[in-house]
Amino acid sequence: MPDLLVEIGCEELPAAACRQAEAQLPGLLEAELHRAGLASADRRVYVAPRRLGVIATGLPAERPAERTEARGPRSDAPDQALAGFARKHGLDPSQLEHRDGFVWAVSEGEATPVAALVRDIVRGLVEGIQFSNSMRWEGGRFSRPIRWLVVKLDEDVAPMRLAGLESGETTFGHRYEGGHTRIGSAATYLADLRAVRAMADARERRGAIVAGLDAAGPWADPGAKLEEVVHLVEWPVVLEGRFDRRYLDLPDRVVITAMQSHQRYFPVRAGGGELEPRFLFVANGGDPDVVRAGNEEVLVGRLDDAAFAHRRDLERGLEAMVLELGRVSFLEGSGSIADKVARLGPIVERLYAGNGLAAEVRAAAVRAAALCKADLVSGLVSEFADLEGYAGSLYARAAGEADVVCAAIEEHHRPREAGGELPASEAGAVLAIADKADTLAVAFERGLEPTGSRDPFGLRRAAAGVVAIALDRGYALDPPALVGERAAEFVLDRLEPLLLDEGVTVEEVRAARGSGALEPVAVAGLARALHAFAGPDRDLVRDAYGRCVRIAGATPPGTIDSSLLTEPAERDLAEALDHPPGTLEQAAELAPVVTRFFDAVLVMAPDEAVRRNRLTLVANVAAALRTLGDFGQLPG
Amino acid sequence: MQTTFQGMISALQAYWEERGCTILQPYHTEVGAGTSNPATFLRVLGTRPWRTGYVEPSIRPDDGRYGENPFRFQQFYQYQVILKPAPADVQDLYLASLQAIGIDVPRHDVRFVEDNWENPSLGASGLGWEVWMDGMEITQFTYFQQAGGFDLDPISVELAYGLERLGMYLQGVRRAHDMRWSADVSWADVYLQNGRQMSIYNYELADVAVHARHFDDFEAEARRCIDARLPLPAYDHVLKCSHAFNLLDARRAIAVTDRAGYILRMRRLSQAVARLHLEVEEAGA
Repeated sequence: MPDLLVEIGCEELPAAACRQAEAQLPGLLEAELHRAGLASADRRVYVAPRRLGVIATGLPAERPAERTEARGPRSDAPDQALAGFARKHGLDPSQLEHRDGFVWAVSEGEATPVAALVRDIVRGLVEGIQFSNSMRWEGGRFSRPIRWLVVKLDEDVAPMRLAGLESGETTFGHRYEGGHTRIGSAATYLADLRAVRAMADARERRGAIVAGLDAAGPWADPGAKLEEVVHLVEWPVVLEGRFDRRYLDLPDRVVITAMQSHQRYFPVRAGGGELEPRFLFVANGGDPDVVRAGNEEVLVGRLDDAAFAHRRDLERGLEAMVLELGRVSFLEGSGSIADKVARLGPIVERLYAGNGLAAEVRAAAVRAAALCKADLVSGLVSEFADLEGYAGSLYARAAGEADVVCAAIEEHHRPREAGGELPASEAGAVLAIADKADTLAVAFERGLEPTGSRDPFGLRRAAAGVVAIALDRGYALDPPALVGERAAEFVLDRLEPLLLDEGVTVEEVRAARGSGALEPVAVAGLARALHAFAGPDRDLVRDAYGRCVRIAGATPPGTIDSSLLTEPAERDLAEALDHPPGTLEQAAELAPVVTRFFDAVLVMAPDEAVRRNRLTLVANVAAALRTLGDFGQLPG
Repeated sequence: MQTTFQGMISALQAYWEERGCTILQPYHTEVGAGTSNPATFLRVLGTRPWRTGYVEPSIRPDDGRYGENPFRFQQFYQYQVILKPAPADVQDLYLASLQAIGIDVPRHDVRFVEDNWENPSLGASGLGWEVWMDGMEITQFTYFQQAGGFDLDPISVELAYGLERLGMYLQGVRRAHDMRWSADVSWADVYLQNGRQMSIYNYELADVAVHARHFDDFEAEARRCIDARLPLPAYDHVLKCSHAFNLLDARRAIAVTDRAGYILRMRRLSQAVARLHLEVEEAGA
């Protein structure tokens, strides 16, 4: 029962690529083994920056022969036909079997040794991984160049060529402390690598890192860097660095950003939650004293930059920054940021008026609108782009602005990515919508809308943010008035991914859009209602609606002449429409009335006036139902 | 460690010269990085093999700190190496070059950390790493994939060493100012005034209207050169556009949301230059 070991040796894979390999390789391995017709006892995947290791144990020595039968012509067919059939299957006519009046070519097949199948499995693994970003080099295409290939069945190398390389059994350990070594077999893989100072198993590395961090003190990881760090090292060593306490005069968030963004250091908090003047980091070897000193220098440099920028920003003050916004242009040829800021106040006012929000927060939101872009010209944001919004709130607080104003400034960039955190305060939510809506309105007016995958101004994110906040807060928006007709459609299009995440189907979203509603919360409400109402009743409404649409054809809705209503079933329907359905339940009650109408009444009456009246009635039913959704979009 | 800044540069030159590189001199027009030098941007296009190494003063107005910051300057030096096609042992070659300038690599934590490089104004992109030494970024290591919007084949590798950082480390000084340029001249002797004066100019004095106009004029001039089928002068004007853009950026005259428009204009020019360069090269071959 041979064990297969594959190691794809790479130049340093990005952490994201490691995670993608971790997620995809188990399924790929299973699929490739299945395709090869091989059972296995156990399958394991090991991912590290310089290697992807794959093990399948307990493989059969060979894929068993497989008997195949092919039916040929009738037994009594001319000899020529039988000979031709036999030849096609590499047989002599005398070898054909006669059964059920036909000839059969029967082959017992041949067993395939597992070594002959390995090549396709390895190729399938390498070609099957979908990296979000891959590169070309002379050997092919992968996340980073492949530089060695170990393929072994037990103790033997399974020879093959891939990416311009011959498979072998030599691997490379830690770049400076390990050198190269021979891999014995799948069974010794992890141990062989450990001997050259490489931990192939990500769980083992994570365990070592967490143990090292825990031993050093109460560490924190607000930027969620640990998972990345696991894939930045093959032989993790947790070290501690220190810095001068005076840097702790900076706001915590600034200190932490200097540590975590880019450098991926971990801050340490004392018992009371205050930051300590030290940091933890994960090295990949080297002389600890040399490595520590270097990292301390780097952090001090970043803290110096932050302190310098922070001090200069405070000296300058938020109001002075606001005055500089006239020099900063907004979109191309669309005026300055100062112009944008001037527009934000009135948009905020309109949003307040449209939603009847409490007046006391309104003044704060308008004030925040005037200040929210000031940090664009701050030194801190030019050092650490992550601090945009936060820096503004920091300087607003220093200038004595109210907490609610500061919070709105900080929150108005949210959500920063799809599904990201939304503004927590009302003023922040309103300002966030106003800011994004203004960008969308101006961009679309100037023909800068996204084309294909290109969205240089981040308009999709802005539109998705508008919709997400409106839904979160239940704000009624009037997109055409807010962003213009074309951008309104674009904004409403962003509802789809949000609702799909909730489990609503594409058809339900499209049906809701087809209602003609333009208000995002209303459209979302219709889509959710359609989803909740899925079942026989909804199908009845859909069928009734479909019938009405088909029969009404081009007839527009209009006024019914009740004197022309002669049949009870059409009077019933007309009366039912006096109270158009406002909910899907009511629509479901209407459906049988519609069915009875079509069963009892001949719409295409010989009398033209009666016919037109009945067509109008049918069109009115369709229009009434359509306000709840374009049921024609729903699957039949 | 007793090396000087100029000694370190000489060691790098010698190392890459021994490995078959043509050693060039810096370009005459402001560039933000050695990549923009035509010896990289144009030479990585097409199929002709090319190996070069050169020092490039990188002019980045927005990185100036009035000579006060020990790490940040509006002009710093890169050592740029291009190997086309990229050899399979390029990582080892690179690490050996660190040894050659006096870094005892195994004592350090030298790592290749993902950094996918993109220069949208050049329509150029590549995948690779920033090389960290003890948490400090010392080199940009990139496999070019595209330049001027063209997929490259063969793939070139670019090594861009940050010379000041390496020099400070090798001399054991915490401020670039204290670095010995030669035996008796310091970095500050050579560049401190540059840092102060250029920062004042870049951040406070540069005339926004003038540089905005320059951008437009250089763009038009690049177009005329392209129409005349002269890719090299056209490219010089693209570089001038780029520097005007960088100055406007330093003056905070370009919003985050406004950059895209300027960058698109430069990318269109770069692509036209790249296409023309390939055509001219093919016609001459």
